[in-house]
Amino acid sequence: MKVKFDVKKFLSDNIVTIIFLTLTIIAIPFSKLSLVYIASNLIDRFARSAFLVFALILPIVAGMGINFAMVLGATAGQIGLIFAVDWNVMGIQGLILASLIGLPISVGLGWFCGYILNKAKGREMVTGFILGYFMDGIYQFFGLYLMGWLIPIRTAVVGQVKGTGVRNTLALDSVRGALDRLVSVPLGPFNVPVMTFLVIAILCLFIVWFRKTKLGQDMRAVGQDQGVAHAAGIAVDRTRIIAIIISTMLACLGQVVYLQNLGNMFTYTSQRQAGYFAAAAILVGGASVARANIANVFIGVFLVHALYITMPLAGKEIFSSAMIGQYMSDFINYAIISLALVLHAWKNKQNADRARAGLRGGAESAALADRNAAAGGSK
Amino acid sequence: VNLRKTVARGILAVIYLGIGVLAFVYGRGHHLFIDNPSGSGAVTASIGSGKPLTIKDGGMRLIKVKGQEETIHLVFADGRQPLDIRVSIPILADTVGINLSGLQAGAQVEAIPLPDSTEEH
Repeated sequence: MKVKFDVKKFLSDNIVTIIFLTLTIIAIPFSKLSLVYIASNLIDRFARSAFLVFALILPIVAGMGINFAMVLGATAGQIGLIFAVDWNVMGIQGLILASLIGLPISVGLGWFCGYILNKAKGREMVTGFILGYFMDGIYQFFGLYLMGWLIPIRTAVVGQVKGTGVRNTLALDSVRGALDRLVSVPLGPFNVPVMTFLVIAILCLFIVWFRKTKLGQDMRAVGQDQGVAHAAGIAVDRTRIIAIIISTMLACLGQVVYLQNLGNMFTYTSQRQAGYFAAAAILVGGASVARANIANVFIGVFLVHALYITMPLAGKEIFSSAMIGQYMSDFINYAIISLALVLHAWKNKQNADRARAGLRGGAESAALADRNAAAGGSK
Repeated sequence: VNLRKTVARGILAVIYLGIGVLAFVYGRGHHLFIDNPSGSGAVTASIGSGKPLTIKDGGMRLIKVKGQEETIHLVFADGRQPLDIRVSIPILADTVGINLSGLQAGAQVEAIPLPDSTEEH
């Protein structure tokens, strides 16, 4: 049977991506940047952020929505980097050491987060969001008071002048570009960080493989219907905790990859930016809070960065101020997150209305409810 | 079964720590002061694949090195034979120094730990 292409459904499913793509296409000519420059920047930025965004896939598959608590994992990665820089461990070894320090911390935080989210079923995203802020407080206490007082700081590069606390901004000179430059191949006007792309490719393969395992299938079952999954003998709470732990670990590694590319770290804010960016990117890529795949990550990272590259200059041309362009790209990012969440709530309501009508009077009432929902949606 | 699981976890923990120790040992960076005393002429020092550094007569250069041993290739401006020296660096020392006077080809030089007034608290 031939499947009819439904334009309305396609637009409704991909509205966020379409809006972003349209804005980017409009911004490119106004920015007056060459395509080679944009592509070169996109390659660099893709290597920087893709790993981080992958951290969001598994919690979505497990039905927990966008894991805003990935901030906890990013924080663990930063703690690892602080120690690697303080002990002056350079190059790829510094990144390995930072990851080795960060991973156990992220496992602990991921378990804690998963445990809390199991207590707040149905409100995982807002709980994760608040957990991120909670962790911010703990991290600031650790960074500003415990470091240098209880935990020794060896170098002035890391420590504040007063003796206790980690500096607000850390120069990561000793590990800057350690992964990107490990194997870097010039390809025409571009410099391709092959090793970083290889790591991202391995992560993609891991996710593809993981989704086929028993645990991956359990996650999908839990994501679709927790009641049915429980009845089928799946340990729902445990599966959800594992999804969050893996997500937190990936966020930890992703933050290490992200910061080695940037070369400096805003000690107390970088982790929060990572969370917002990753959420925006995966939503822009076409994921919803209930459905995500690898393609969403690729599309999202490219589109968000394309807008970040072009918007400040386009803003300068259109509004005579680069700052307005910068604010606009930030504003659009947050607006995209809001739009995706509103659409999700709206679709949930539609589905609930349809199910309720179906219970009341069968197919005719369901069709009527569909029409009413469509009329309500178009108002 | 539990014992086997515990042993397996123990082995994994040891491997994990081992990788951490190796990363620390091979990645530990040091500031190396190269002191070229007066009267010995200018010298160009190359470390690994890094670009050569010229140290003038009576001058000093501070460079960053990784690991506990480094080979330095020295080329003298006064026409003396170039030298390759091996410098061993104590793992816990942040800043170390070597003196270029009186060195011989193939010499193993022990870097001297120095107080780091710029970086230590």
